[in-house]
Amino acid sequence: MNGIHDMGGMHGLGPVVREENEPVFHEEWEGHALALARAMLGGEHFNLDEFRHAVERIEPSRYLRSGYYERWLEGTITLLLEKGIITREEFDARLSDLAKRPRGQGEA
Amino acid sequence: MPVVDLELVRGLYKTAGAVRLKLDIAPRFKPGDHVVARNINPPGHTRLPRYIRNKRGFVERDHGVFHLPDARVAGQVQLLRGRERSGEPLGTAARGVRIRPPGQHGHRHGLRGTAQH
Repeated sequence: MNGIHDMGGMHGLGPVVREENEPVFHEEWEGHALALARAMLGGEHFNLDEFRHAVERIEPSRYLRSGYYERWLEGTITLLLEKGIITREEFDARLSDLAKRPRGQGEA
Repeated sequence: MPVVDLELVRGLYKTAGAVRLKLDIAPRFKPGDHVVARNINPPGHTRLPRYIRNKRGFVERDHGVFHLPDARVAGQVQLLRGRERSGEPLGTAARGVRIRPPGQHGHRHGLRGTAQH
């Protein structure tokens, strides 16, 4: 698709900024997002191309504001819902539970 | 009791979701051939970025046979970029080729059935 992800050649985005001594994950949840995507791929709930396409379909302004693992997480969630692995109701209920917890008390 | 263990993960990591295909398809192009990237604009997934469409170059290297990404997304229209041979599914496998624009040594475009993250 001619989506926002297809940035090669675009002007105005500025130089690629490389972080010195970049850690593997900036925050722990990123590792969970990676593990979740890998587990879903390994279990063949979806394939790599479906995963990429799910990421490509993120609404453009949100895509541009999102970091790498945010996009991975969103792509994974999209596919989990589309494939019926979780339902929208389960997902919303879980978000609602998490939103009620004091900050810092998440779980995997 | 863990559901998965490290050995299972190691094994899966190496093999699950592999994108190479053990399929013997004759290549349509060979290194040195001049080619033009198609100007396709599929609404679904493709690994052909806009900056390379309609661009000319020559084949530098053959990467072998891969799944065609466009065809691997469930429910979307398959594009016939892959090799057509009797008895083989259309559009689902393609030989990856790497092309280089004429006169620009060292600047490489990948025209592949799949690519790295």
